[in-house]
Amino acid sequence: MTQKKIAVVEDEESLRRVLVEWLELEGYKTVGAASGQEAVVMLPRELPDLILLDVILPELNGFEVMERLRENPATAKIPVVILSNLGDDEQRHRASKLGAVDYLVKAEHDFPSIKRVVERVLNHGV
Amino acid sequence: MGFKNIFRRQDRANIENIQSEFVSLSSHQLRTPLSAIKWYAELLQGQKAGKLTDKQLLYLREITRSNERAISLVNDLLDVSRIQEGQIHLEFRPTKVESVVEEILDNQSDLIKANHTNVNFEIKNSPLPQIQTDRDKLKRILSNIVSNALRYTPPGGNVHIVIERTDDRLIMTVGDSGVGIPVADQRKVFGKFFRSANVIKLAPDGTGLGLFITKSLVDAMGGKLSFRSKEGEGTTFYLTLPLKNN
Repeated sequence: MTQKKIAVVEDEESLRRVLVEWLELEGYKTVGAASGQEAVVMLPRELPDLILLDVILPELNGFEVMERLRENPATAKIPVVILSNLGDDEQRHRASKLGAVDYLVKAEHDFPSIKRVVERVLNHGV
Repeated sequence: MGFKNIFRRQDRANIENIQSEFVSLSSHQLRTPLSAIKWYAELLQGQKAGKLTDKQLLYLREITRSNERAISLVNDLLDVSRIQEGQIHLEFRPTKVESVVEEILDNQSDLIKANHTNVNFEIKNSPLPQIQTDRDKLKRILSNIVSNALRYTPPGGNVHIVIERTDDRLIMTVGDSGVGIPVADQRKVFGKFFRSANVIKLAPDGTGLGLFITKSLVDAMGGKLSFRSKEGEGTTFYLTLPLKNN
């Protein structure tokens, strides 16, 4: 089975590093981006199987990144899971309208719970 | 002269808004360092970065426990600020109430095991059909009530959850054989930051915001929340929520 690739778009370096290290321990290939702009350049090139996307990002925010991904046929179908500090209904609604498959609020999810979401999305797409 | 008397009502409302916005902003910001602590602690606990001694593992569990306490305080403060800003929006979707309760019991399984609590979950007129409700808020409400019952029931006690659906309502009762609420405290339990002396002794880690949030969410959903309690014998909470037509 080919190793799946997961992109971590997170501007906070300590969080990006811990997520990347954990995902690699779980056997995934990873790529990281520290800003929205970096993400829209990197994602069409890397074509990951899943994107963990923060919302508050420099340059372009997570929702703007999603809009750009949807405009590009190469990235339009890549599943996006939001991982954000914001958990208000408004943001959840916006993410779901843009096609995010799940919305996780930081600090509320431990690794086993993120793993369940990652595996579900990689295996079933939703 | 007290703080409250100095300001006119409009000024007070403005100050409350600013306070609430400040709480909301800082609480969101706190989630980043709290997540970093949580996830790095988990990585260490997995021992992939090196084997830990029993004592190191014990210290790590204490870090995690305190961090979880800080996370739930942040969540409570954010809920309170949303409530104060009148920002509770309901999003109705088909929901299986049984699975909501099962998830809650699953999240509490460590506490249930540690305390050897006998948990009984009964569904009248089973199987319960899906209902149209705001799943997240329903989960928050039920989770608070169930977790109070579990936390304030001494080891070996009983918690009994019953769900019933009528034509237009969802009725849920959560009874426990716990410490109960002293009569003098019963009218204060839905207030902010209130905790009875007997529960502080049993579980020092609470914020006193849980039932305020729960009651506010129940009100926002057009429901009713009440309880009966006798100190030393236990408490039963009664929750009724109106159902939209499916």
